[in-house]
Amino acid sequence: MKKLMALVLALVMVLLVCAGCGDKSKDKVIEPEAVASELVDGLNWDSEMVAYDEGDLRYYFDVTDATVIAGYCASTSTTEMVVAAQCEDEAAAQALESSMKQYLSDLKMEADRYQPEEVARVDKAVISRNGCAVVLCVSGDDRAADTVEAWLK
Amino acid sequence: MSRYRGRRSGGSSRLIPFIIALLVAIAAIVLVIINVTKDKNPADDVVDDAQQGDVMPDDTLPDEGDDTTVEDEPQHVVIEVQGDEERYDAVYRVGDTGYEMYTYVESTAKKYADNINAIADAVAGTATVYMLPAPLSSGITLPDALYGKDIFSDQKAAEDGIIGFMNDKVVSVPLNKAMMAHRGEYIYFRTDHHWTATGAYYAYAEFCKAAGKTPTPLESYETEEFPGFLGTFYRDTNESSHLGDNPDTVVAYHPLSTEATLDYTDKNGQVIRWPIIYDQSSAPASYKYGTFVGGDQPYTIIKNPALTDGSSCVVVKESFGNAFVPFLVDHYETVHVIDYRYWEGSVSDFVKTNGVDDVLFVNNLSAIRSSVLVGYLHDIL
Repeated sequence: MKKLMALVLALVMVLLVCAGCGDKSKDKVIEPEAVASELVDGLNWDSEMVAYDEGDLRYYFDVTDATVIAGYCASTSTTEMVVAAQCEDEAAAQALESSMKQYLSDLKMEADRYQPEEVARVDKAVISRNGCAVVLCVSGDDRAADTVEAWLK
Repeated sequence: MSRYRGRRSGGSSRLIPFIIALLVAIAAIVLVIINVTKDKNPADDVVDDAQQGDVMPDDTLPDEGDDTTVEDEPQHVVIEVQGDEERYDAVYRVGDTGYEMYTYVESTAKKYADNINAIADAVAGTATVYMLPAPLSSGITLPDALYGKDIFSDQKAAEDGIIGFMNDKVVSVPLNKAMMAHRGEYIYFRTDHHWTATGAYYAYAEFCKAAGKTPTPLESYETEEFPGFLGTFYRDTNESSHLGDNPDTVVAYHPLSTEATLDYTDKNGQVIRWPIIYDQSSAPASYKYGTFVGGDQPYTIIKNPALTDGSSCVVVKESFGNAFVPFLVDHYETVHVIDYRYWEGSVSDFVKTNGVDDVLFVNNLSAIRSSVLVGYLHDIL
């Protein structure tokens, strides 16, 4: 009986470790600052992009304490932005992704009302997640979607 | 062992705890009964009453300061559905009128309140902070039969929730009740998401009550009208002919002071002298709301030389505030206006540096549920 219990416990532990991020062999692990700055360097932007204060990103989105997050935003009034994050588990990544989608929805409403010239850009926004890595990119560059996907492969 | 151990002496003193316990129990039962009979769902009541075709009771809270009584519920007009209905991305059209679909987001409301509370804490002892959560037309002039649809959160409940998050340094100015009392008047545009200046006036009157000021009677103002306004809902409904054939009229109320001056700093940093109420007679149809205080500028300052008491306020707003600000001109020597979406700086520092007496947050419910706009407000604490 004791041996059986020990076996069951060991199995549960393995499952818990694997459950954190799904299939570990496929999960992408990113360095958010590196991804964000590479996206800024690799895409065309209408504004000079400046680094977000990390505290601001943690305010705007649903970000756990253990998540590493970095990003850049437009220095002018355009809606351009790029944010990259590495979360500690898939639940945190899903929550972050969900809050980013809500943020984009609100951004589109504001653009629709007060910056109609930005609506097309917001409509092309990319949010992509692979396991615990999440990237958001609002750019007028048509290569943005493919570039983000390439980073998360 | 005696049967009567500890029982014989002090007969009357044994009764006193019993009487006290009985009185407490009776008081508790009375309080429970009062709370149960007060517990209602405002949206359900509205829909049920509308179906009966009766004049609807207004869902009101007790007046501020009145902790023990519930005032009689005032009656307000019933608004019937007139015309066909159509749903768009963010707007619901009923006949010739658009209504913004609104969802209360508690987490964002909490963040909004945290911002206001932080500023109130920072300026405590220097200035008084007022918070005016402006309701949308979909919470006030929406036809009664449509309240309770899942695309329209209860805005009275939302207002209560937002006010509930404010700390004791913030003077909250509820507006839902006052707007409902005037819902039969032209207080919201049909083709645009803003309130009219008449609607803003009733909010100003509520602010005056809270601030101990006497509101100027509405009929005292000289008015100017700009017909042919087709606002954001016209665009949101793909330029529906139902709206296009029935444009709005922008009515503007001129401050009593004819000597007050307005200067705004635009997004390029240019300072421009501009009328408080600008003649939009020849403006395109979608621009007519721009008559108020030069539109959405990062910073605006209005000076009234008729007042020399050094009084000042700062209004932190998005565009609902534009129609509201002119009513303040006759009350303050200086009115500062900050559009937090475009202004950079710290409101707390601004208040202290400029010796501002009153800080007014005039923010509509749609802004308060927007993670983007609440984020912008957070950036200028």
